[in-house]
Amino acid sequence: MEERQRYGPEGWLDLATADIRFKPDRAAVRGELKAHIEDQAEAIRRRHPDLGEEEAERQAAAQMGDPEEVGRALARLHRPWLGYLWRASQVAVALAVALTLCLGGPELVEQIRLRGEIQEREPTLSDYYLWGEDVFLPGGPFAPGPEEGRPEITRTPLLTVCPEETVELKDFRLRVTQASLWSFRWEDGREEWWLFWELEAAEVPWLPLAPEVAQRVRGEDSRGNTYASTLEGHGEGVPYILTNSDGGGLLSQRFRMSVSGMEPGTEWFRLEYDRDGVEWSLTIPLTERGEGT
Amino acid sequence: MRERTPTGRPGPRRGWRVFRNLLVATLMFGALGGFLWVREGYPLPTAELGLRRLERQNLLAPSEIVWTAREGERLDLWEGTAVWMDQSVAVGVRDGLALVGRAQGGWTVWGAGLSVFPVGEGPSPVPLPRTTLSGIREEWDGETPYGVPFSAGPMLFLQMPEEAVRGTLEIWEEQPGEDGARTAPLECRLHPLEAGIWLAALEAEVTAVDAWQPYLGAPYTLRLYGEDGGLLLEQRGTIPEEL
Repeated sequence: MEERQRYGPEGWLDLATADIRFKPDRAAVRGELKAHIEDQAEAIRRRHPDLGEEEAERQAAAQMGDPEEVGRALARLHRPWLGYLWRASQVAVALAVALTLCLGGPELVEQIRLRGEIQEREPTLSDYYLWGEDVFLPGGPFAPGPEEGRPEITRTPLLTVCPEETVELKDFRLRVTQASLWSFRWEDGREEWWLFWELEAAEVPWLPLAPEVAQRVRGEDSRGNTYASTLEGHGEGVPYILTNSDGGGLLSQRFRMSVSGMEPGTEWFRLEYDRDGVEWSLTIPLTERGEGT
Repeated sequence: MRERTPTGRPGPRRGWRVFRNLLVATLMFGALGGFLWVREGYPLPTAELGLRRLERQNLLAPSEIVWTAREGERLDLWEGTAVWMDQSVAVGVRDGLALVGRAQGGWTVWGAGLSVFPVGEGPSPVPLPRTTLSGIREEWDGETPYGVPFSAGPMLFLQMPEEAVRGTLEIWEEQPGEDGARTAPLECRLHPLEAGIWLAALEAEVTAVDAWQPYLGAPYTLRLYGEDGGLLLEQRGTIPEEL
């Protein structure tokens, strides 16, 4: 007892917490032990009012037991690795937040702004052709002005369809989202049909369909006429499918395609692809009944 | 109320906090990494993976990859001449086809493309995009060497015989002249890269029919020589067009 009383409360606390290696834990445990000693000292002074504060605290510390034994027990309970891991996890979160704000934040804002600009794009003539909207009527955006007189070509939308047929490939799903049939009539009475459609490829973002695939699509209609692909026919003086990429979303890609010079009365138009053992076709019905073979 | 007693363990709350923090950090790093991967165009780390993706994008069956080269890689040809790869390239072969994947700035969905050429029996030329190589030829000014850059129209030759040790290539290219179109041979040596694969780096000085790949459809003569210097093979053909 006399030997233990040689330690003042601070000295006792120093010895009892010396083996707790994680500094925040050491400080917290020290604080709680100190509060406990102070509570004990108060109780001692209530029983012995003539005892000085310092002496009361010394006795209270002595009553806590051998500080080295207590220290060893506390060290076994307060392993440092969990403390260091906790600190590391706090640093990791802070770093993740900082990097996200610095690298990701401005970029995300920019992407949102760009998407807004794309969605605000004004429709083009190509859009109206695809939608089957007659923008050549008086008052329409492409109506001829009074000074232009009678147009050389009269363009009239005939039909708009949304075929349900889809093609399932290994990595993509293809379908025609919408197709519009137009009549083009010249002043000399000659008439031909033009077809505009959008081919959509559903895909994952890191594996987009190569535009060359759409540019290799050939065509055939119900009258037995064939149409070359964009790659084969462009500039060759033969009927061909004109294909342009039209962007898309995160999970899809769209191609605007069209043919001209179809015979009036054509009942269907079929897209055909055949390369390296991969074959598929999609049929666009051109009648109200939606028939096609 | 105290979280714990002085003699108690830190408690499950600290363990839970560690788990929670590490989970949040992992999710955020993962999301940030994914976002950056998306922003950079979904880059792939190797030419092999890049060619595989190009094959799937183009609805083509996988090929056997026979040669790859990295962007910036230096190829030492014959003495005094070296070329650098301006693009990464991966070449695969399958069923009489050569698939040439190329990428600039990494194997991303934006910077990569694929060309397909027919391959026959025996030595077969496979054109690479004209912007694939840039070259330096060492010349001597008296006693001091200096590098002369040249534009290289590269061509691979596949299925070359093992016993060949030297080769030359002549390509007959149309050139405009005062008296009309005429042909003139472009000649170069061939350099072995790997077993059965040789490289021809044609120095293109004139514009030709196709500014992108001037030799497509042009007639060529390939001569291969053995160790004894004797002619092993003389082959005439036409540089294939892209399929």
